[in-house]
Amino acid sequence: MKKNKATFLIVEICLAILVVFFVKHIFEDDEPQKRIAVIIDNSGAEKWDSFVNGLKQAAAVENVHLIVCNTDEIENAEEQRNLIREQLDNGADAFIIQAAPGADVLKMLQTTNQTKPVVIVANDVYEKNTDDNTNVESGLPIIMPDNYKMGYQLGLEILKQNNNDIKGKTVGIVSGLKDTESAEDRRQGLIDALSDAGCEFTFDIYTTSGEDAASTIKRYDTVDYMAVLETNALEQIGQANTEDNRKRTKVYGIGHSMKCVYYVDDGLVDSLVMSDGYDMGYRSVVELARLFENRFHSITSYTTDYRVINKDDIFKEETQTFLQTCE
Amino acid sequence: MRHYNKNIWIVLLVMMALLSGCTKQETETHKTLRVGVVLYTQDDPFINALADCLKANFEEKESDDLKIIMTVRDGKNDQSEQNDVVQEIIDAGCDVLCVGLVDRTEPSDIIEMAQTEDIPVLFFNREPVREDIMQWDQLYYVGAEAEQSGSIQGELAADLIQDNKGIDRNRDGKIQYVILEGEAGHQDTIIRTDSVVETLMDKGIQLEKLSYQFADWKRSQAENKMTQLIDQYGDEIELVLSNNDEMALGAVNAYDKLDYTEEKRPAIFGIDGLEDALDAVQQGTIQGTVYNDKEGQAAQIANLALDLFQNNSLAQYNFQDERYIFLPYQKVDASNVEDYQKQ
Repeated sequence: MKKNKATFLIVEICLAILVVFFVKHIFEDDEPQKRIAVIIDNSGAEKWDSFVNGLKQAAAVENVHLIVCNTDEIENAEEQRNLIREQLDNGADAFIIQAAPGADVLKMLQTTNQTKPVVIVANDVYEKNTDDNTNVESGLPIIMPDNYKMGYQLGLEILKQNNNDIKGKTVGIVSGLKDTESAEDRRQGLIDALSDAGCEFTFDIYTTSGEDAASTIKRYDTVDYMAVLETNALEQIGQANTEDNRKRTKVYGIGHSMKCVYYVDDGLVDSLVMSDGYDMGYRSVVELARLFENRFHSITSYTTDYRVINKDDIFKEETQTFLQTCE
Repeated sequence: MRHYNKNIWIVLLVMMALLSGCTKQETETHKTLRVGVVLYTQDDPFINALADCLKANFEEKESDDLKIIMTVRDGKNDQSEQNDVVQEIIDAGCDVLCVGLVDRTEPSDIIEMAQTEDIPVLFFNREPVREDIMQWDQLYYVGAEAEQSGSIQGELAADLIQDNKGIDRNRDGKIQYVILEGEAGHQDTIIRTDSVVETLMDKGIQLEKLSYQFADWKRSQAENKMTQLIDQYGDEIELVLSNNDEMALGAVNAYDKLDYTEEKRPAIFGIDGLEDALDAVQQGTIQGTVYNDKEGQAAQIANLALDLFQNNSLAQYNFQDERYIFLPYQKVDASNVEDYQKQ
């Protein structure tokens, strides 16, 4: 009798555990998909294709709902704040954000991060320490390429393709939006790489929103080499090279679109440094998905890779595999 | 007690005044119009130029009270992909959609998605069939009539042939021509091709068709196809009719690369009025083009989008069949090309 009672109790406990287990699973299944809002400058631009492909692939795997916000140029913290507010109203559970230009963005993003988790992509927040001009530690997780290294690499490519002899040659620099980490760091990397080369920097300019870089550079003297450090500007200058029948300036650039790759293939751009946008998109979603699963998960910052693409490399298998992510 | 009640009333009135002040302030804060523009492809220079014009128009309309965000997305020449893009745009928040369809006969999914969210759709460049446009009263089309572009191209070519007997190089009384066509089966390809030939014949021009090639509206493809045609027919070709400027420019490139002299080249005509084509008309490498009024179309789309967003009256629009705004094509040749280059 006593044995029967014990058996009965054990069975009851087992059943209770099973009930708890299944009920938990039922409610887990009913949980609405978490929503990740992505706020990037000019979100429809081709330069984001591989990044968005990475986001979408990870969102499908991790079963999260992705919202790539409709944006054009995001010129300051205020515009970015409005987009964040809109997506908070839209039920966003987390954000993937490309920091807008300007020093006042940091505080705004830190405030957002207190409400919903934020991952910074593409470029860091632009805020420098006054004492040594290094980047201020934002405390936010960042997944992006090393922009300084990309600029440095481009400088090395200019040297390499010209037998390390550009002494007395003229170089023009076209950077992205001023007061953005990517523009400043890429430019600094390039200048550091060429600092001992004995070349002369004829012009050193930043693009502005909506500007046609190809028209802008016509105002300056013709140079031997041009380093274009931003995708849109590189696309515009590459296109202008198509139409230019004169012996053209050699163009080297940092760009993230297939259009830039076509220009390398056509010989209009001599060398291209391209970051791994797919990895950046994929990792940022996966990290947030881990956080949704485990609130104690700590998102770690990560530096994504980049690749140098020259005309001879385009049809190599590894380059083709890399470029497939853009399509 | 009476004095006490009076105080309560005063406090309540002050609170109401303050609250009404808050409401007024909220309605006066700036609004944001979010426009989603979905192109059939971002590889078409005319469409890109139209999108640039649209962007410029929206920027002009911005004020302290109105912020306009225009997002441009690529349909990648795939209707299914374009439907997904529209879904994403709606999902992210959108007030007005502007869509250049990949397939003019397949707008149903887009219309359904937009209707569910009550978002007006302005179609442009590729005209949906009437039955689709009439499905819902928030659907519009802004563009030009494809037939007119072919007719005007025919008129331009006929005028040149009649004024310049040298076009008929072999003096056989007939003009040997080739046509560079857009996409096979595409509405504009068919209409432009048919109407240009009909117009030439109506004008009394004797024609002999040597060949035709599809070049998908693209310059590089047209250059290759034209090179093949030149290999086959040499200087027998007296006239090249192209369904758009990009392909006409491809034909010019083919003759350039083969070092054909001016005397041995045919007359070449395009459609669209692209900047490069206008330059070519001025230089005499293309004899004429048909200007597709992208500035006018962009202005109409921007105005209509804003009026729909603000629930303004649409009485000032010159709608045809209630939902269509057509802007006329214009002739461009050496005599007036400078007027268009200034635009």
